[in-house]
Amino acid sequence: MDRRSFLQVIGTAATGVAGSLAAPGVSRARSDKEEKEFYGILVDTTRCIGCRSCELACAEVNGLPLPDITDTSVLETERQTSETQWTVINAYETDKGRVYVPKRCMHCNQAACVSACLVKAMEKQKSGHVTWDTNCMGCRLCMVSCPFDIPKFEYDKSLPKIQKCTMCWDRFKEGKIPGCVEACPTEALIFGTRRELLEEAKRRIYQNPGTYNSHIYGEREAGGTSHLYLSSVPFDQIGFRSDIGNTPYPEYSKGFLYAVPFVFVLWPVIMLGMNRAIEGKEKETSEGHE
Amino acid sequence: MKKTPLVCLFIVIGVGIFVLLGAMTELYSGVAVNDYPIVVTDVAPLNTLEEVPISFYHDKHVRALEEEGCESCHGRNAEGKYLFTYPPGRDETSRRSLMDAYHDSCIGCHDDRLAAGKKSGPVTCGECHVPREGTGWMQPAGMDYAVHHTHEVAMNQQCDACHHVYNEKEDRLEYAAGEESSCRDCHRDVTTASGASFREAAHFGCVNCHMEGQQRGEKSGPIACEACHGKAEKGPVMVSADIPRPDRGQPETILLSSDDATMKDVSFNHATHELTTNTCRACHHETLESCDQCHTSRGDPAGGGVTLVDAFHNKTSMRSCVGCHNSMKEDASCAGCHHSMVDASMSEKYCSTCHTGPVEGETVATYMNRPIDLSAILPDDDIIIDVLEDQYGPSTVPHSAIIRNLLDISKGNRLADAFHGDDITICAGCHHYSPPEQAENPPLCRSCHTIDFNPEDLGKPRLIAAYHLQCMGCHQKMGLKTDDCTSCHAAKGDVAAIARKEPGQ
Amino acid sequence: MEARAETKDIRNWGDFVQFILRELKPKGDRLLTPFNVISAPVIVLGVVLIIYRLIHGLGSPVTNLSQDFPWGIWIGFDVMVGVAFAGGAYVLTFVVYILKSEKYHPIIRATVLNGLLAYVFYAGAILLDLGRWWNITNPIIGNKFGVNAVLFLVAWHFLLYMLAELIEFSPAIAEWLGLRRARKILGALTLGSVIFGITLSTLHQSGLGALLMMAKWKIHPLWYTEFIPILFFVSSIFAGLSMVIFEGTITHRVFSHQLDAEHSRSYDDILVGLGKICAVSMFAYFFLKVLVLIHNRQWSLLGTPMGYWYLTEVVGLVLIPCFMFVQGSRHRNFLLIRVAAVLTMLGIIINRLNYVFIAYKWYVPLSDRYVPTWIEIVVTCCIIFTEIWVFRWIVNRMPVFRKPPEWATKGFDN
Repeated sequence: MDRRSFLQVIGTAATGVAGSLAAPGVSRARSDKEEKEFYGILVDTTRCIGCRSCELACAEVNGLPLPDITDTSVLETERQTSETQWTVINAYETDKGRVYVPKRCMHCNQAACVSACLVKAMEKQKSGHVTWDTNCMGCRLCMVSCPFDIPKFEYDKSLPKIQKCTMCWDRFKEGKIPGCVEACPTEALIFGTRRELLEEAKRRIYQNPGTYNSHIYGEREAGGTSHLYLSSVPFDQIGFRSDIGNTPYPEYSKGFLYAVPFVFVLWPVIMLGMNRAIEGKEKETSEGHE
Repeated sequence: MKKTPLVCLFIVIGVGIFVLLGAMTELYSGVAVNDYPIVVTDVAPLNTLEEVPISFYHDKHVRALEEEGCESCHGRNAEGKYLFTYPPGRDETSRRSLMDAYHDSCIGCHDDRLAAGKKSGPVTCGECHVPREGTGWMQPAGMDYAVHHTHEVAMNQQCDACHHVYNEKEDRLEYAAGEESSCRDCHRDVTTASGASFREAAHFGCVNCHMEGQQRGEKSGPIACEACHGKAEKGPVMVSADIPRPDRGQPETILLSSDDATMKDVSFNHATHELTTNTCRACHHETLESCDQCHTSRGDPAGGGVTLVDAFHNKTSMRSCVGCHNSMKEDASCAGCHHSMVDASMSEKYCSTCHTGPVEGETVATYMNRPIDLSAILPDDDIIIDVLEDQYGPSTVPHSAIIRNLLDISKGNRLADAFHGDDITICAGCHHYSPPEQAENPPLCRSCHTIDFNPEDLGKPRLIAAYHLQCMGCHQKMGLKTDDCTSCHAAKGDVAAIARKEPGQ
Repeated sequence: MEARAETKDIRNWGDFVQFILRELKPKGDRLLTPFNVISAPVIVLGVVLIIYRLIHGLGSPVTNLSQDFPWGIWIGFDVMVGVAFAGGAYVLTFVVYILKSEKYHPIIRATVLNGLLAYVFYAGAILLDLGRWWNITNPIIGNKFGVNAVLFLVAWHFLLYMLAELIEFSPAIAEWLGLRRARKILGALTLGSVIFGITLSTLHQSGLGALLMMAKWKIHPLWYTEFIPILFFVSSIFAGLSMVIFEGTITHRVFSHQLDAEHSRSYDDILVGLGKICAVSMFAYFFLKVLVLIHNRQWSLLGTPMGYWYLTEVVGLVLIPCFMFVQGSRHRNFLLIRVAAVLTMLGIIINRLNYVFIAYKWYVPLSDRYVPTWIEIVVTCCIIFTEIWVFRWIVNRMPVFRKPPEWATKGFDN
């Protein structure tokens, strides 16, 4: 091989490497000495009485239209959260009678929406809150990716936002607890670090055998979430999916993302090599004929 | 290649025919709706099953063999009684022999009838070894006080009609008065050299007697499977205190003691406990012998490793005293307080409720009719809770009425009264985590339950939640309605003010 | 009538402006062709609707998107199918410039042009689907870089690939403008931009599939697999080539006056060759699909309604066209190859739409499912027609089908 070809190959490989370093998915180690814990909310559905004070408080705190919480007919059907209602109560008939479950963003430890967002509009704060920012493009990939189908898009607005529970991130920055926790009259919702909430949840299970189903939903689901749920009945009876799995959802894209640097480096080298090899062969044949 | 499309067409048609045939065999199975299929489970010697267990339609066979009679399948012994081991030539020496015994019997008969031109049953593997629907109807059959009483009346108190013991020396069955007990004491799960299995013995004894009665034209018991084995939809059998319990001279009260006991003996009222069960086996689960025959102090293999103490004190087993008593706490009258109470079983007072030493036993009648005077312990006023008055109006707690209600329930139940004998104990149902000596003047709820959410102590609800969890929790467990907030406190103005509340307000 | 660009030298801006103004005039004899009559009103209506959509937002009546179905035909068809169909560019540039196969050289420019226009228009159609479209520059300018996102990679690749395609096509532009030095430089850049383009294509064709990896339980198990990116990549090969065959059939008739005899003769061989590549890649794809089915042990699902739909897509619109390509190539049956191409394209459309709103949340009852509104359909048609119009404008002026001017090919490889 002559000098020119050699330099071409090296140049191609170097470009590929440079490209791969710039490519997404390659994590650069950053030493982050700040010790921060995730905060979360423990939802004890054995305590929820379906009063919907949390829905009202959430609307109040976030400037959303106030729902009429005295209207209990809405509990007859299973509701989803919406762009104007970031938490909703659903009622389920189970073996142990009627169980009420507040549904809202799970604030996953490794959130699918955060991993999907190409402009980091969906961001996982160091305190565990998954928040949305206005640099969002409105591509709605977060909606496709979320295993709990939480982010809701304001289709009917000209300046639409993605709306979901923020675990009262703004109030947290002021040192307050989330509005729904503040409002709940039976402390079905409590707020604290995820570690403390897990301890409290386990304490309740161990000290009250027979009352609780021996599982904390959110402890491991989707790789762990900041919203943890306790229940007296199996979770699939109260509207929770049992096929979420324990793998963090961003891991499902990891296979592809890890392949990117390899393709960036290998493809150019291979193609250049093939091109040169074939050119070489053509030259040989044409030279051979001369 | 012009032939290619034609070949493809033939392949498609061939596959289609196969699929159709398969579907047809599934659709046509010819089973009547009311039949009670019995799943053949008496095949333990086969160990692992390669095929689906047979669902056997006994009723169809009875109908089909009405002329030929039961002898077609059931052998008879020397005295002419039917045998209920199937198949008649049952050979359990190997898997093969047992399978062959079944096949020779069933398929053999079907083949014979086919050859004779009569209506017959299936002869191929796949027609019998298929899972069927509707096999869940069968319940284990057994004796309970109600059935026993029916037999007592029918047999005119002749216990020797059914009860026997085995005289080993003379190798025969004989009647021993005063030693009547459950069949299952000797007739166990599987047939051994010392006796038939309970299943065999029960069918042999019961069904034969019923059949003979019917043949004599007398009023007799049933012989159809579903009459004894019942349908699964029936709920749990209610305990009725009216049915007379069997009398074989058992004492009314017994002093439970043991040689190496360190605590006082327990004065056990057998008569009142008989009224709380449906069969003797509820407690005498293996034999009517004394418990310490198998449950020794150290735990014998005969007792399944369960020590004597554990036999009486295990907290979850329904055969243990403590376990059965604990299960009573789940009743709606009791669960209001007991569902959230800390387990008090390590207190001295708890043990001495039963470990009293010898006492004079009361009869049930005198206990139920004793007068109750509560005037000494009822406070005068209602209590008003108004500490959180800014969101909702004050709540008026009918304190005296609640106490009276709870005391009524407690004193009306012998078990409850034994443990709540000291009436102050009832107060601990709501005034928890405070010393018993303070019971007449307990601390205020807000002394421990702060008004605002306390992130340091996640296990202790804040005041509003403490009230709701305690009050509503009890009401829910006792079956009272709890979905109307205003039945306890009137709403005051803007309920949305809840969210705007600053800490400290 | 021969349309010939005048290769006069452009010496200054005045010359350039005059040249452009002249070129903007329509060419060809008739203005009211059937195609023009149908497409022009659609384009005008589409532009009006686009303005309405940009003002009004994505809600009813513009689209039928919902919280359950956030992606509709603008993503499913315009972007995903459009980009898959543009895959012909990277496959053919690989064959022509890397493998140095002269056989496909006659159609390479048209294919690259189509690829460029596809990305500009269809990937550009993303702008319409974005709820907050004014922020579209955010991932480019750094507000903020979501580097862990697959979509970040896809967005950047689209941009860079448009650049690479532009460079690949720019020699034709230089020839049109008569810029000789530019033509020489751009010609030398071709191999580099082709290699870059193929690398980018591999990643963003599979990347479009990787977008769906986190929607694990929402996509029917017969379609969801960890190998979706690979399936998307392999299917883009034959999707692109089928589009090349389809589009070639039309353009070779419409622009037949531009083709010289040698080109017309070689086109049959090209068609057969394309058919063979399609057949091989489709068979590989089918085999991969079977592997996925076996690996996930999903035989029982084939008997369900969605299973029949899956079989329609995989057997009916992949395996059968594959055999048709085999037969067509073997016996030089051009009609069979063309029909196979159309069936393949239909299969690709159904495949991509499955991932976006058919097999996606297949369990939602029909009354709550996404069905495109007439506005979405009209806007899609508008974009397609506009792209065809631009294609036609370029082909009538630049040497795409016509042979390039003498001075361009003398002494160069390309």
